Amino acid sequence: MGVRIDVVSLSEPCSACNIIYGFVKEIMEKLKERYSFLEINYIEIKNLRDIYSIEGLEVEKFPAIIINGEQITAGTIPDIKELERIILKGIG
Amino acid sequence: MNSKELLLKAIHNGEVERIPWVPFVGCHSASLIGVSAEDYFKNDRYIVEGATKAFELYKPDGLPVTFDLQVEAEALGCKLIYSATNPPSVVTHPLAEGKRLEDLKIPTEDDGRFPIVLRSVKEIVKRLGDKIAIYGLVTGPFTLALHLKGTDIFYQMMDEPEEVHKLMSFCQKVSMNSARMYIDAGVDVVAIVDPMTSQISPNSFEEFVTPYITPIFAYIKERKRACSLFVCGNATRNIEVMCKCQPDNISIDENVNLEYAKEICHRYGVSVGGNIRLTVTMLFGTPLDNIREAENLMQIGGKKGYILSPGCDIPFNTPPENIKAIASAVHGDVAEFMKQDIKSNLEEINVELPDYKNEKKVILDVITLDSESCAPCQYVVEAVKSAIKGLEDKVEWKEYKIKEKESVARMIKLKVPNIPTICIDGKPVYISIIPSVDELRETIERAIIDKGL
Repeated sequence: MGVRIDVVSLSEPCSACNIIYGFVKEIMEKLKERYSFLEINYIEIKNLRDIYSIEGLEVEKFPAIIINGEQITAGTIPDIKELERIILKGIG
Repeated sequence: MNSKELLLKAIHNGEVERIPWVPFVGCHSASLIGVSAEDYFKNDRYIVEGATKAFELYKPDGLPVTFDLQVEAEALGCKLIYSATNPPSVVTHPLAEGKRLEDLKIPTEDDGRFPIVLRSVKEIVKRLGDKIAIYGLVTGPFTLALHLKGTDIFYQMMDEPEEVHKLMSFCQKVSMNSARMYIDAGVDVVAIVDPMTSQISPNSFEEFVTPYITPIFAYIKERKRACSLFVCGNATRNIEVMCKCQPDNISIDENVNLEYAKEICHRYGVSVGGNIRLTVTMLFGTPLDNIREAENLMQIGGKKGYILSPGCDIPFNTPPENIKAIASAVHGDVAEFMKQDIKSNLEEINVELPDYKNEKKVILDVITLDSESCAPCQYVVEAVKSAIKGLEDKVEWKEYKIKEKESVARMIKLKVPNIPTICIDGKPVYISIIPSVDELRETIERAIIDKGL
């Protein structure tokens, strides 16, 4: 079973969100190196309609990480170990 | 009292006659002058032009010189990627890539883009410094530590706390020196912008941030400048420990409830700023959404120790009309703004006002944005409903919501400058004021007698 990660950010984030987004991308690169089966999608929101069309997005704080349709973070720097645990659980 | 004096009084937790406002323009001012964010951040002429344009359009009481939390990091060797519409991003962390802390040197006036930023400060102070308060924004020590070390710092805080203390001690010196440079260049307010502290607990904040950030505020105060701590993200649990660091002001974003932050901050004699929603309201909302939000926040913030501002820096493509709408709410000239905003449509609308003098009842026209969504408007409507109890045979009232064009036309015809306003028999009596039920009832009863009813 594959694991799909959606990283949702605003196309024009504020400075703080931009910094967090940078760290999230770095963490995603590290995860991709460790788990080549990961499908990572970066979604940049350009208008309000986009927000409502993203499956699994429940909390509108960005950047958000959604793993297999379940929102894991909202506007925070994730713990890579916690993400690994969720990914490994995802592949059973 | 001019705008600058108003802001400085509010930032020092004083009571003011009008709530001051500070639009945090950084890369947004690049869009105002038609250049890319990258060109703007690299050129003092653009930074100065952008701030001047923002001053002309948005009638602020204070403005940041610019909003760039990467200046110190870049001068310390972090690589940046610049963008056409966003602030630059840090993409390398020297201390995670072999550099030692001992190799890093505290940036001075000659390093990185500091010459550009400091030239901008001096010119903006020269142009606007007698009218409004000028903010110099310094990257806070914890955010700078993250730029230098990357996210490994979170594990190091648990495994090697002494290493984090060494790094924080260095970052304190950098932030303190940036504050010195801004003060020497002439700013009125130094804001220590440390958004990444929202990512840690109050305990971690007290251990790793408090000892390093508190002396920076003491230094700024010693230099007779106002100081603010900006935090973005959900810093709710940290507001109290932030207050204990003794800044004059704390500025929050939409993730923190303003009422809660105000209660804690005022307990410590700290003023509070914030927290207009950047995305839903400013970037994607309408002018009316922005007026509504500004009115609601000003209702909560009050006239003592509160500054209206966005939660963080305004996005590049935020419609200027939205920001002008906020300015109109602040300055009490919503009607004038609405007139200009929808002038072409208004010409087609013909509103007939009643012949108030000869009406058989006292007529109350209540001009609001919408009492269902704008808190001050709701309170005014509730006051009217309570005040006329038992007088229904002699008084008639109606709410006119300016989200409808007909109501804007009526507002203009009645010469109502701002919302919410109660007009009695065609005269604006309570303009942007919520009267007590007793006071309002007394006024209505007087109008009934005057009309001989």
